[in-house]
Amino acid sequence: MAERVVKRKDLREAARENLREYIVTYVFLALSVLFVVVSGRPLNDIFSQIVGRLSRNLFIVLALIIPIIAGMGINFAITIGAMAAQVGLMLVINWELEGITGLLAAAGITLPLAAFFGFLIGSLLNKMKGQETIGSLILGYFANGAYQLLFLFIFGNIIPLSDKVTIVGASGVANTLNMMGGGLYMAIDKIWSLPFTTALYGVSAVIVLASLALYFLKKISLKRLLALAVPAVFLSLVVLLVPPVYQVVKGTSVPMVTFLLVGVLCVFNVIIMRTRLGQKFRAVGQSRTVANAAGINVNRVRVIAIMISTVLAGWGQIIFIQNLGTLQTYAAHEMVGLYAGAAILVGGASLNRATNTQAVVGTLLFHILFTVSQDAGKNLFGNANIGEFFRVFIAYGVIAVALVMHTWRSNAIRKKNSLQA
Amino acid sequence: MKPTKSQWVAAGLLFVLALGLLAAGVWGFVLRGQPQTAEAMLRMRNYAVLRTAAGAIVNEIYLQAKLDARAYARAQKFSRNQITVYMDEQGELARKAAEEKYYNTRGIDRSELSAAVESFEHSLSGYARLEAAEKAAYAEVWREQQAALAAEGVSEEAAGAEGEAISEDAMMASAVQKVDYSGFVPSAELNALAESLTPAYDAMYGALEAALPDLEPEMKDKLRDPLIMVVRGGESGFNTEYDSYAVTGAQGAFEGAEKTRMIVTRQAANLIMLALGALIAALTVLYYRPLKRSLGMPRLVITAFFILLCILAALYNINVAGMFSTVLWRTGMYGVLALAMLPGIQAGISLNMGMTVGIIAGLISTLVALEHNMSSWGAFFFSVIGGILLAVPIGLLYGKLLNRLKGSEMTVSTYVGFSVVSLFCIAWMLLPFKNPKLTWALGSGLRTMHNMGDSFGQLLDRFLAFDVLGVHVPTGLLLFFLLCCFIMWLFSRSRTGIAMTAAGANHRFAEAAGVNVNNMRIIGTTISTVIAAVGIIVYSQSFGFMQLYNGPKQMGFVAASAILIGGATVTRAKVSHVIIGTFLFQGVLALGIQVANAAIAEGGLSEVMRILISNGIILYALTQSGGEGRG
Repeated sequence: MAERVVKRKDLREAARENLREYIVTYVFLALSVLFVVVSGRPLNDIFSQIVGRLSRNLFIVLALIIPIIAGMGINFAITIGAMAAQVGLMLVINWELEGITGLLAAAGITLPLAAFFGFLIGSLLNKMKGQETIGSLILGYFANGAYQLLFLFIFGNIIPLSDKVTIVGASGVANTLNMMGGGLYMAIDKIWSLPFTTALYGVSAVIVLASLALYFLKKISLKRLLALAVPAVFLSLVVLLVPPVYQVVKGTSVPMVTFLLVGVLCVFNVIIMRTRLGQKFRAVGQSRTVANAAGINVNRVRVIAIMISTVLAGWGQIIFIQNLGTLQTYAAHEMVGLYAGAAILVGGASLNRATNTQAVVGTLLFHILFTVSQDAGKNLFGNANIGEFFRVFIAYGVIAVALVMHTWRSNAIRKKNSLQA
Repeated sequence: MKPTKSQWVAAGLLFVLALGLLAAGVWGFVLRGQPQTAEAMLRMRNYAVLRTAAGAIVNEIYLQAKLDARAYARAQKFSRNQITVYMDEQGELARKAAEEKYYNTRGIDRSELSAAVESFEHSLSGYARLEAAEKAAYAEVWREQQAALAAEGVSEEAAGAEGEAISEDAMMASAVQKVDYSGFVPSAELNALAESLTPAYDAMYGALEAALPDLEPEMKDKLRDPLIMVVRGGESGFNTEYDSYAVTGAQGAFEGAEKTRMIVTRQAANLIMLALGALIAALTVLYYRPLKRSLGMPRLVITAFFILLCILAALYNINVAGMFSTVLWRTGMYGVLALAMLPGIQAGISLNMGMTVGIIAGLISTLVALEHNMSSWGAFFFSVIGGILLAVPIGLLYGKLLNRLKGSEMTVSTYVGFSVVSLFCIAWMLLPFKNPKLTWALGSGLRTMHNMGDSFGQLLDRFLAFDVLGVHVPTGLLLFFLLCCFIMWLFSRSRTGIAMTAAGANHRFAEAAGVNVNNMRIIGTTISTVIAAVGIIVYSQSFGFMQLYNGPKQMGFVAASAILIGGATVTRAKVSHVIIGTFLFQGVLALGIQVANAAIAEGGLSEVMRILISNGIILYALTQSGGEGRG
């Protein structure tokens, strides 16, 4: 009897802890549900939009995880990775490379560029430890100026370009680069896409079989097997057996290769944490002083974290833009850092802790709100602009709240420590 | 610290260069007064007149040759492409031949022409003066119209959430733009004067016909305006005179040594400017290290850049007085906003990027004043006092929040500022303002841009404003800015001010001395918020337009860059940093726009420059403050 009371108490404590930890996520969940209802848009339409948005945004959001673990906060300088990718894409369009070859070439150009920029960003952030979040934000703004200088006055004037990317009579690269002609549009998405139901059953089957195999090979525990297999089977059954759900999802097609890339990145994020380098990220993130005492070159580890993040963000931007089909030369990168940062925070990540799941959940919730906020604004206030303003507000607001809570918490911990000492 | 050998060498070379340029420039100015130059200019003018007339003949021959070629080609049944090519070819050949024939005017007797031109110029002077005055008046009206049109264009556009509000750079572009004179209508008096020119013109044309026998009488009317342009060049200054002759290609009148001499004479002022630049460069190279130590790297770079822009502006013949007026105006316009950073830094909350909450307070009180159709000083004082009253409680709350966020104030305040601005984007759509001047004609919500013209736009600027040496001094605006600075200076001398600065500089020490650090930080934040509220009102009235929605979003960055350029760090700042910094920053921006417009006709470069300077200086400050320690 007493045991049960204790257990219930533990449960309540855990629930409270969970609520405190994920309050932003729950509020967002409630808001999303409310907005979906208010917007009055058909669910299948929303669903297919969300799948599209997830496919093009997840990669960039996942690129934020490593710097967070390395204790550098939200790396808003991923915009610079996106700029590197846009240089690559612009050159590819200029050289008239087509289809998947073109995108691979762009990714190839992005790799050294973004790695180099990442090195610079990391070195600069090492000079402002503790202020990385604001530092990377302003660095992103600064880079935007350099980017405009490059695209407006150097490309097309000093570095000649073909008329594919310039406009006669205007200086620099054109405002909008169309990717429809060269077959770059959806070059990754188009390789292999399946209806959502088929994709779900297939992926579930693969998950169940793989986890069973791993279980019998004694690589994972029973608990882990259930945690993997049950949701997969459950989701498939829900779609299969509940007609309204089936109605919602049936019209949507899934770009398999894009999601495969996202999956690979998730696995990469997990695996790298098991390597020596990953341990160093974690050690540096927990305490720079302790890591330094343990003989880790803190500055170097931080630079590597930012380099990886910047390159991944560049590739993410390529995925994003091939899905959109047009490259807004001077605007496509501007909101990347803001939206990705807000998304991962919505998922319950904080400035020193983030997981793949948080990134995925956060992106999902953030983009549900994004998709429906205009219609919801129109229905609630009779003005679609309000919905538009609301989603910008929510992006900034989420970051502000996360920053406030993080500082609050770490200041409280520091106070406790200094009282104990 | 003594300069090194290489510094001496570089400085010496630059110094010699400066001396050479200076000597050439002085020689040029001396030459201007010489009779031989005056004689050369007369020759140049005659040459220019002849050249203009000859140019008309050449053009006529060219066109005729083209027509002939077309007729011939058609008769030969050339293809369409061939016709074009053939016409161009024949036209060019004919032009070359004609240029050789008519531009060689050496053999022509010019005594008669010279006298005729002289008398024509004499009768022209009154006309030219009146026309210049009328055109200037027209240009003024035209520019105002353009600015109003630009503002209207913005307020008619739907307010997009992500579209930035119009920058004043875009607004000012209309002041730099070339005036379109197609709508210019001369007054009756001017027309009468133009009529009275006819006899003198006839006489000059007669002399021209004598000199160039091929000149046909039909060209008389056609040539009238170009010839007036050439001859009236003598009205204003040596340079304009020389340039107006030179456009016709009249430098061809000179050869050899005389050519060099005339060029030096023309460029005298520019040579002296360059000499000055070289001299400053030499001194900078020589005293690089002590300068760097006392100014700090960024301020040294910005100051050097400012001087470079000044020299470039002089070389591009940019109106110095007008330029200086713009710099003064912008300094006053942004000064109070930059001042808002000062108490924040002094109280230890570093750069208060969240000053936008104060800006919002100022905007709300201004909106209330506009809603009730207040105007002039009443509206101004109402807005200022209302803004202060609103800003005080907001600042107190905001200060309390920042007290719980020690160590990350700048990060958090940036995002709190952004959130508040975007929250108020929604509020501007919903707040119950009813005045049709403020709200969209269709639908609901406030407009993006509000013309302050009929309330208190430019009220401070015009107060006691005067012109000195062509520089427009917005006395009221500058006085108000300096008054605010003075109050802040007094405050920093008071007991509270000293305690606040101490709390910001070293909070442990201040605590030990019995200062309540948290209270001091709240006071600093509140004052910062209040000044921001006043600052945006001053800015709006001076700019002439109030910007809502995303307008205030970047204001914190502009203010932060200004005070940092002035020499402040994120933990230490003085009133002088605000004044120097705003002047330098706005000076560089204002000059940059004009030089960029003169150098390359592309827009956008000045905006790029603003982004780079503003964010670069903040990054620099962060690296100085960072390292270990904070956070």
